Amino acid sequence: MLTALTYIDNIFLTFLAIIIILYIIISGLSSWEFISYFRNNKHFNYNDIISYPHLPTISIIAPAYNEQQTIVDNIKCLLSLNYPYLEIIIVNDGSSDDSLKIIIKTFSLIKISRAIPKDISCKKIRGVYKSTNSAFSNLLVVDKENGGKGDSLNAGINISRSKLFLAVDVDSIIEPDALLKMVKPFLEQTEKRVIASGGVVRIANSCQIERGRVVKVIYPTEFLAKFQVLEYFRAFTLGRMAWSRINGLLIISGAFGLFDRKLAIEAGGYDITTVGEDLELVVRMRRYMHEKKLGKYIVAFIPDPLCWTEVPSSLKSLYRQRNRWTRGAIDTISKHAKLFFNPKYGRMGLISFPYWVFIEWLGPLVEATGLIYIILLIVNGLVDYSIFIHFAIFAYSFSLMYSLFAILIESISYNKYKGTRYLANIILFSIIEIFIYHPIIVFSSVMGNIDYFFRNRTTTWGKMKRTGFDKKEQ
Amino acid sequence: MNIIKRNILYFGQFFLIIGIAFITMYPLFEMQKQELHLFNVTYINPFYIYLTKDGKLLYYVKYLSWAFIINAIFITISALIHKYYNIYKAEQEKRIYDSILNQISSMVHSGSKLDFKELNHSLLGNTINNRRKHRTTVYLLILMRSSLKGILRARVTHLSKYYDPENWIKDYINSPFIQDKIYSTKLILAFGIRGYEKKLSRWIYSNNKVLKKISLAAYTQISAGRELDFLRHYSSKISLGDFNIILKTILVNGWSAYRYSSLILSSNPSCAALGFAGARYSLDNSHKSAALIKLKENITLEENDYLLKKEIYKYLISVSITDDDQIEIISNLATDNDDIKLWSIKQIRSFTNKNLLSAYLCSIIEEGDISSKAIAAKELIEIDINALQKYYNSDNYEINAAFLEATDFNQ
Repeated sequence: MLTALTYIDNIFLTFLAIIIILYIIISGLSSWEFISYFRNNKHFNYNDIISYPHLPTISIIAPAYNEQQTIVDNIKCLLSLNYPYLEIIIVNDGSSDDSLKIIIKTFSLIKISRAIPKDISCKKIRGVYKSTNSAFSNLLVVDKENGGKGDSLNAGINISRSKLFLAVDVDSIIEPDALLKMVKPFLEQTEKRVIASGGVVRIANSCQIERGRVVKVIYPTEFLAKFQVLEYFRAFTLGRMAWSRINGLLIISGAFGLFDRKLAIEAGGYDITTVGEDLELVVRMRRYMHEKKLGKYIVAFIPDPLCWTEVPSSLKSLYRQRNRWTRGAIDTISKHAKLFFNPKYGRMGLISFPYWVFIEWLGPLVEATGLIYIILLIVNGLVDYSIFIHFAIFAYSFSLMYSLFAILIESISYNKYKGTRYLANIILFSIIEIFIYHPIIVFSSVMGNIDYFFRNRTTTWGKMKRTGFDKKEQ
Repeated sequence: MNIIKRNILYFGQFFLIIGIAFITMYPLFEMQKQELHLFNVTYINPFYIYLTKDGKLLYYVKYLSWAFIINAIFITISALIHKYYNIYKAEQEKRIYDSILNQISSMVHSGSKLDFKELNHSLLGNTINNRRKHRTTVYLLILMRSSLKGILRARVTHLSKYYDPENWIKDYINSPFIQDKIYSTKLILAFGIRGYEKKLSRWIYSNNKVLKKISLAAYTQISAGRELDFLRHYSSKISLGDFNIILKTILVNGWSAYRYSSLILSSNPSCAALGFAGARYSLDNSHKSAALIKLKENITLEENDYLLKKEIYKYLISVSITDDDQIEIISNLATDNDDIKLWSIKQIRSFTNKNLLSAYLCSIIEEGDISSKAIAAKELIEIDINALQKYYNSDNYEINAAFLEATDFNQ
C-alpha cells in the first residue's frame, strides 16, 4: 500500500517539477523576446509605414450577432484605424435584433451585387451592402444566415479580396495604430513566410471609453475581472512571448489576429464544428505549411497592448467561457492528434503540441486529481504534515513569484495601469488567486472535459452576458 | 560620455548578469555546509539545521521556497520602482520636448531672432540631460523640416546647419550601443552627410532590423547624384519594409537624383525592381531587352520576386508604344500566375490595341478566379460594351456573378 502511495506521490512530484522547470524556461524566453523586441522596435516610427508605397491590403472581418446596442460605435472605431489600404467587412450572422437595420440607416447602405467565391463553405449569404457615402467607401456589410463565429469569418474571407485579413470580435476596442504594428512582421521577414500575427488583448472592464477608444486605463472594479488582468498578463506577457521566441505559438486570440488570407483559404478556413476555432485555425495552417512543404514560416506575436475586450465578470459567464475554451482545446488536440511528438512537424510536433496536451489540457485534470488524492490521504491519516506543508509552500511561493514577474514585466514595458492602489491591488490578488480564482478555473476545465467526453457538448458556445461599453461611456 | 565609458557600461551589463546568476546559485550548494568560508573567515551557517534536518529532497524544497519568496519580494520592489521611474521619465521627457518645441517654434516663426547659439545656450546651457536634450532637438528639427514648407522650412534648414551634426555623428558612431548607432545613422540620413560609407556598408547587413533599415535609407540618401552601387552588389535579401524605406528616400530626393542602369543588372530582385522603377520614372527606354530577359528568368513565388515582376511589367508598359510591344507584354502576362494577371488588369488600361486587350480580358474571365473575373469584366465593359452580350447570360456561375457585379452601378 505504502509503495503504491509513494509511486503516486512521485508522479505528482514529477509533474510539479516539470511545470516549474517549464515556467522558469517560459520566463527566461519571454524576457529574452521582450529585450529583443524592444531593441528592434524602440527606434522605429510606426507612422512611417503609412507613407510606404507598397503595403499589403488588409480586410478587417468582424462577425456580429445581436449587437444593436454597440454596433455603430464599434464600426466607427474600426473605420478610424490607421492604415492606408483597409477594408472593413462586418458580417451580420443572422442577428434576430435590429443590428442590420441600424447599420443600413446609419451608414446609408445599399445592396450591391458581389461576385463571391465559394473557396470556403459557409451559410447562405443573403446580401452584401455598401455605403453611398464616400466617407465609408471601405465598409462592406454582409448579411448571412446564422452559422456561428467561424462560419461568419469564413463568409468574410470569401468576400475579401485583400492579401491579409484581421479577424476581430466586433465589440473589441482596437488601438488606432494596431494595424501598423501587426503588419510590421509581414513587411520585415525575408527568409521566412509570416502566416499570421497576433497581438496582446487587454481587459477593458472599468476602463474609460470615449467614442470607441480607451482613453483611460483603469484596473477593473469587478472581483473576477481583477484576477483575469493578472491571468492575461501571465498568458500574453510571459506565455505567448516565450512561444513566439521559439516560433512555437499555436494560438492567436480570436478577438484579434492577422492572417495570410490565401494560406487560410488553402488550409480550409475556420472549422465550424469546433468552439476553439482560433486555436484550430493556427494549428491547421501550421500543419498545412509542413505537409505541403511550403518552406520556413513564422507565427508572429506583438507584445504591445493593441486590443481591449470585456471579460466575464460573473461566475456563470466565466465558467461558461473557460468550459468552452477547454472543449475547444480538446477538440483541436483530438483533430490533430497526428502531430503529437511527430518530428515531421518540427517544433510544433515536438514541443508546442505536447505542451498543449500535457499542460493546457491534462494540467487541470492532474491538479484536480491531486487535490482529491490529498483529501483522501488526510481523511485516512496518511499525510506527513511537515512534508506536505513544505511542498505546499514551495508550489505556492513559485506561483506567486511567477505572477509577480508578469506584473514586473508589464510595469517595465507598457505600464498601462497607473497608481500605487493598482499595484497593491494586483499584488493582493496574486496572493489570494491560488485560493479563490484558480480553483474556479480548474473546476471549469474539469467540467469542460466532462461535457466534451460524457455529455457530448462539443460545439455549444453558451452565452456571455456583456455589460457593454456604452453604459460606461455615459 | 566618451567611447571608453560607453564600452565599460556596455560590457558591464554582461558582468552584472553573470554576477546575479552566481549570487543566486552559489548558496544552493553552500547552505548544505555547517560552516561557511568567506575571505579566510569561517562562519557558522545559521540555517544549517533547519535546511538539512529532513534530508536531501526537503533541503532543496526549503531552499528553493525561500529563494522564491525572496525573489518575489525583490520583484515586487522592482515593479514599484519601475512603475514610478517610468512615470517620472515620461513626465520629464514631455517637459523637455515641450520646452524645446516651444523655443524652436518661436525662433522659426519670429525669423529675426534666428540664432542657433542662443538656442544652443538656452537648451544645453545647464549641464544635466544634455544628450537627451540634444536628441530631442535634432528629432524636432528633422520632423519640422520634413513637415514645413516655404520660408519656415528654409529657416529650420538654416537652424539645422548650425547644429554641427557631424560632430555628434563622430561622437555616436563608434559606440557599442545599438541606440547610438541608430542615432548616428539617423543624423547621416537627415543631413545627408558623406564620409561614413564604410560604417554604413557594414550596417546595411545588421541583424538589428531598425539599424539595417535606416542604414539602407542613409546610404541611399548620400548616394544622390550617383549610381546606387551599394545596392547593385547587395547580397542580403531586402524585406518589403526595407524596399519601401529606400523607395521613400528616392522619392524625397526625386527619381532624377539617381542613376539606375547598373541597378537593373543586379541579381538581387528587390534592387533590380528599384532599377526598373527608376528607369520608368526617368523615361529611359533603353532597357527593354534587359527587362524581357529578366522576365524569363526563373522567378519564384516569393514577395521580392513579385515586386520585381510588377516593376518590370510597369516599365515595359510605360515604354511600349507599338503594337508589337503590346503583343509581347500580353503574351508574357498570359503565361503568368493568377496574382500577376489580376494585378495587370488595371495596369494595361492605356494599351491602344483594344482588340488585344479585349482578348486578354476575355481569357481572364474564362480562366481566372472569381475576383479576377469580376475586375476583368468591369474593364472589358468599359472598352467593349458588346462583350456583355457574349457573357451576360452565361451558364457559368462565376462569370455570371462577375458580370452582375461589373454592371451594378451602385458599386
